[in-house]
Amino acid sequence: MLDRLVKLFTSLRLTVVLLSLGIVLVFWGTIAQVELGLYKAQNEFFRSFFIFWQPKGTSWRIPFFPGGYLVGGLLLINLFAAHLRYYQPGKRKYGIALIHLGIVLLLLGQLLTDMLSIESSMHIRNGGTKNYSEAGRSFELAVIDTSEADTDKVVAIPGRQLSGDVKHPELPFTVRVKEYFANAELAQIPEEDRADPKAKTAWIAQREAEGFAPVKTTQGIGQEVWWRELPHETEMERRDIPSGIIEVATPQGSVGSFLVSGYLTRPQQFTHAGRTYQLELRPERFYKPFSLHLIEFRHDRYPGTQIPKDFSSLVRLQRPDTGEDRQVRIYMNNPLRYNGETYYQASFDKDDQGTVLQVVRNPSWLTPYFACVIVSLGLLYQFFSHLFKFAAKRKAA
Amino acid sequence: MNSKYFWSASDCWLRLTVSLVVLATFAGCDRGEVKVYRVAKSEPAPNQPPHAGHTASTIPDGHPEIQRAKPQLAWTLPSGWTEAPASRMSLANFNITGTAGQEAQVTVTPLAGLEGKEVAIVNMWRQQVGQTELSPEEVAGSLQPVDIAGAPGKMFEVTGNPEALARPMRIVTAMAHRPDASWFYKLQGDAELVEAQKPAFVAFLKSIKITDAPAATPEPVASAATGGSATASKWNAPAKWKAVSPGQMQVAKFLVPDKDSAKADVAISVFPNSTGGNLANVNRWRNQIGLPPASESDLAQLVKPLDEKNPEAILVDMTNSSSSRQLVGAIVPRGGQWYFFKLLGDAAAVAPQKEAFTKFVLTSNY
Repeated sequence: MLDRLVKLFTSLRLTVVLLSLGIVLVFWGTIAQVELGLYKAQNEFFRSFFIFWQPKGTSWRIPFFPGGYLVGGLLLINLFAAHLRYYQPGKRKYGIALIHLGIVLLLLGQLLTDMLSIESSMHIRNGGTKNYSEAGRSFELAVIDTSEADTDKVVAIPGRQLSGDVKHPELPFTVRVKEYFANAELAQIPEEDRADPKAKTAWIAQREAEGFAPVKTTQGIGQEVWWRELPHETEMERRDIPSGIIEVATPQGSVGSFLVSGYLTRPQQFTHAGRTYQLELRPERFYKPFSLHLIEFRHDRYPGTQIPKDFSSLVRLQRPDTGEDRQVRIYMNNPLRYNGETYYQASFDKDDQGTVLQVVRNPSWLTPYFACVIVSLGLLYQFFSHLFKFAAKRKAA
Repeated sequence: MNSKYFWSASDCWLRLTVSLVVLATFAGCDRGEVKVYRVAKSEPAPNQPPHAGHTASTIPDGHPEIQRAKPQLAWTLPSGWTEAPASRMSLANFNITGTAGQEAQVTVTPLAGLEGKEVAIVNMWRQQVGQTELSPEEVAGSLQPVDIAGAPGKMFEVTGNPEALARPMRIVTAMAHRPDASWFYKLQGDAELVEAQKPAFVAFLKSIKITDAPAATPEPVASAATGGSATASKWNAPAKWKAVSPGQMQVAKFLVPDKDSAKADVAISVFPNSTGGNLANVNRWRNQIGLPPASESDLAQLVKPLDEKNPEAILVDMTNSSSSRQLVGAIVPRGGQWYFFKLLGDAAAVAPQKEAFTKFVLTSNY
């Protein structure tokens, strides 16, 4: 049995099948982007073990084609297993070993990038300063103790942990998640309708017909707001906006329940044991030990035309703990690499008065470079060893 | 050793398993940890009106109206009571839970202009719990003297009508008139628990200390040197517009000048997505002035581009002639966010402000 499995996982036939499946997958996934959009296509075809088919009108999800993780994972196992099985040390095989090692590193690097890299963005207006970037899709519940004069203490709970009771040694109470929608829509009775019972009733009836329900909280804005759950956004340019009801529970009883939402522009506030706290559901933040001040965003065009020539952001990097204070120009293909992160010129405001930098922390960003160098060395070794052998044979003849 | 294979099948599997375990360990690295950190205070939210990030001691232009400072309260908390956050109306709230799970609440609410209106007040509370109204003489007879914050006050009790309410309910209300307002202290909840908590409530009333509000002070302002997002955003509002406190889902709000009795205001909201797209938003706005929803084909007629430099930004002007309500709205996608500007009110007040509104949307630095 074991031998059969070894044979299967070390067979060249499996390699060919997997490479063929990979070609089909890449082609199909690329075409599917037209209809599904980049984000959904990436998730369904490449960041999955299987591609699922859902018959219309049912909730079944039937796997019918291997996804990127399965094909890539099996390919990696196949390459690795074959090498462990068949590799025989010797000068003649050094080149082949290096080529395989490079390819394994390439596949592993991509896997590590997928698992470990964190992408976020930093939007700065001209003259503005930021010391944090924000995730594009993930949210966090920030419980902020604002009682002290100079600093705020933040306990940030990732959105994916928001269910049931959340306890943390730094929190003197339990954060009880009473309801949480990963994507929801809010509606608030228009101010002009609040005093008019007829208009208010009509507004409520219309919202109920649209599937909205009242937000059941005991404190804060939630008491005036209606909401409804929405399906997950799958398009690249749209994202889920979560909302939830959070109850602050202490051993003495409940302090109250509050609406938190990505739509609210101000946090909910409460006091407990003489301290003031804020609750805010916001895009996950990544604070930096330095700040970037946007001196100028430039959008240069070719003279006399509207054709873009160059986009660039001139920023001032200030780091209080090291005294570092310098100017950096970030533009296409010239990102700022600093503190283990890369800041790319990603987008800009339509009025050319602000910049959006994509911030990528990828601990394995060097692996593709190493992999390519190793593969190149292997190919060169293999080529020259054959060349020298051929030349020696010719000379002998 | 097998001459064909460098490693035997079992060796090969052992090594492969070890490698996969190492990989799985990497894969299992949890990036979803709770993070705890300190940040410099007064980090203004992006797009906040200009008062955030302002360090000057004077109040800058466009500063929202500062809420009148409230008097400070102090008290001795009876055992078994828990503090709850103050709400918009009340200065202090407390929750009480009985041993059998019954619930009651205590609220402290100052309301202006109610001195001498005891009859209306008592009857309002009675109506709330399904009881009939009392005559002025009966009301006078129901008021008992009580000591509130070292001054004389009055207290009355109302028991809920069992036919009108699902659960037995009782309200004990104490009131004292002060120069600033009439202060109401209300103990309300499960009838049995309220009765049991009445002595504690009376002791609580006696323990209260009220300190008058200090002179109005500006809200705490942000420090530009914090390294936070000291935003340069600025609402370039015309001088005649008056900034007022925005609603929870708004970032700024202005009252435009009245035209005789006609009124209108400008509200700005920011959302991280288009909240359903242009058609859904335009229809939401149409609903607010009593117009029927528009179809996708009508939309092209209703909206026009706001700005040549920003082709996705739109402007819409709609009037309901039967109610004389007008709404001029603009939707501006910028920096991954959607800005919604709305000039809404009586047509007579909105129409003269349309040009200023458009200029405001185009020239504000947000």
